[in-house]
Amino acid sequence: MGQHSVTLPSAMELLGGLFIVLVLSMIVLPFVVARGWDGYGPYGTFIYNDEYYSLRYNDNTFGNDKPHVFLLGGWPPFVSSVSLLEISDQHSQLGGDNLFRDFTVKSTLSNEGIEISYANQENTVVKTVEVLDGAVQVAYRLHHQALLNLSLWRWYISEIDGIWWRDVDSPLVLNRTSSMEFRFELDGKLLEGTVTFSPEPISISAWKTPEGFNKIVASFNATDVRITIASSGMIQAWALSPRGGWLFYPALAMASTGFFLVDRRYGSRVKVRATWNRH
Amino acid sequence: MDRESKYVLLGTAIRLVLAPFFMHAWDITTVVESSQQFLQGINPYAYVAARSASIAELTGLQLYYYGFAYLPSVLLMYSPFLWFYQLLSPISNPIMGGHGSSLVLVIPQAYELLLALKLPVILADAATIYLLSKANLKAGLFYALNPYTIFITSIWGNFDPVIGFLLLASCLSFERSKGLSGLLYSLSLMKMYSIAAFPAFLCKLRHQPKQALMFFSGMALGLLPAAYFFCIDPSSFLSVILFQGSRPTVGVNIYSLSSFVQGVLAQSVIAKIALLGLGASLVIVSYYLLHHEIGLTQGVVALMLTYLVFAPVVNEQYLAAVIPVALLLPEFNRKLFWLPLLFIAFNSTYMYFAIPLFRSASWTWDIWLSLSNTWGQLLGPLHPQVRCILGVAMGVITLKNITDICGRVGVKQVN
Repeated sequence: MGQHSVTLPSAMELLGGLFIVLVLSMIVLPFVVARGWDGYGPYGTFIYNDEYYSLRYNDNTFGNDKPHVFLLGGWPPFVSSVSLLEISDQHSQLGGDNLFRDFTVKSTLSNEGIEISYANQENTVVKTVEVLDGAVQVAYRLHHQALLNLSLWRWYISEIDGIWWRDVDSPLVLNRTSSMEFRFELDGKLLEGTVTFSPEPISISAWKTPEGFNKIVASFNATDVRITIASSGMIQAWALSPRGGWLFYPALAMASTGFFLVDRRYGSRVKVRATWNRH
Repeated sequence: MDRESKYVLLGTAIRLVLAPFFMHAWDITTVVESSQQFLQGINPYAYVAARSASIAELTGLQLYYYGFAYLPSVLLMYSPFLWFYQLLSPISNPIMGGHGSSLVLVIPQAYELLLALKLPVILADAATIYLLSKANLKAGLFYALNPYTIFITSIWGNFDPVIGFLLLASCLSFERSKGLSGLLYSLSLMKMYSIAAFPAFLCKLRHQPKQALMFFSGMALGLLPAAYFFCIDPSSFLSVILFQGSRPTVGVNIYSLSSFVQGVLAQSVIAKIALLGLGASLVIVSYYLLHHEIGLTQGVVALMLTYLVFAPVVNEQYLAAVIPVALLLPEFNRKLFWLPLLFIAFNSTYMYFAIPLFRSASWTWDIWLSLSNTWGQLLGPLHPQVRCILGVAMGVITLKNITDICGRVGVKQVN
């Protein structure tokens, strides 16, 4: 009876195998749906993901995206996102002071959301950002009552509470309301978003550019203010585009692995330059 | 004048002409900040550790301040040149805000400082050109005129070419003086990634205990500054040095496939997988060196290239530490440098490095803004995908080169 011998892979074959395993392990990443709050970046940008929303809360060196709410659609890895609404500290004021420039800010992950504290000699305010019951809730708790002007941005909004942007001049003074509906265009379709205010703002106005409404400013005179942002619209997964296309990465991983295996199997010959001496 | 000297002059002249007008603002600021602290008697490691602790406390996340995170031999290298500049110039720091969002440059003193800070790297390049030319004239000329090495030395301003020179010198002096070789190798550990080459030296020393003792003695001498800073503040020193091992994956490597993943927790998992892969790869290559008759230079290059393939963090300038010693090998793929050089265009972008040049006048700054915006609008959306292609290509081609260097069955030599 013949003896069976096991040929161990050579070191170079092991190295190549390790390379293939690592590259292919990257393929699963787009299929993993991130959930919950996390952070990234050298100074602490906060990211939230679930099946419907993606939130970005910029670090303290930026005045925008405080937070920026994105609507998600599709299924991993064919996931796409579209901007829903953004709250800007850079264009918001408390008691006449700019929230981005005139306050000392500290942001931390806390329980189910982010807690951001603003402080200056005049006032302090704690903002929390949470995702609850299918909506994004941004709450402000002021140390003492003051005028709070909050600016909400989107590039662009086509309609606010039934008012089409082309039909009005800028700025548009809106009726006081605790709930507002807005619509925006995406791939020829109109998608809807809602903003609810608690308490009712003392004034709401909208600004527009030649492309559409881009800014809503709501003013409050209270110690507790809550803004809830939601969307009832569902978006379809986009076709692959240079900006999106999570499928690009696993496709590249497979292509590179294939190239590596083909090269190992059929192999190009190394060219040794006879004029270069080995050392 | 002999050809070696001509090549040295040529390479040095090119680097000197470019050096004052370009920089990587963040890295240069790190050098200035840490060297200034060293000259003032402040412990740079304590400063960085405190900044990192502050960021972590402010955000609740395990984040680090990306400041000085090298061995103290870097401070000893740069501080004399900063001191000399400050001795002659009325403006002690003409480069401000490089770690923030608003960079301020005082022209022309910024040019003078940039030239002063790049002098040690240019001198190292000059020495590299000379040593390479002595071994092989074509290798010396290649290094002198190579756009990538010129870019890293004169335009970026990082000191990876110094590491390259030290590794080269360590390999060349190994047979003649183990102590000197050990000293040069320990100095090359400035950015610590050259620790990957250590097994190559160990393989050559394993049957020579006396020689090994000389080598390690030289190493110990070179690590004395590190020992000093460890002794005066061990927790700050260690937290800064070990930060390098906890960074999220980035750079010209296969982990650019995960660049779309956001979140500290998710990125730390990927980084841990990458670290395991790096450890395994270095063990495999070290095992190969142990059981095959391979020259020291081959072993060092094979291990350093293995690091470039499998390490979680492979910044664009790391190859500059490998090229000098790799040029001694005919099997080394001399075209490899194109990948990190192109990567720079789609990462920091070439315009970022040209800020000092274009800040010389308001009309040139307008041109910079226009070019920068145009590039951003045209190619900005493609940056992540292009970086990924280049990173993966770097991994595949470098791995293939490792196989070539270590030898394959059935390799056919073609003249």
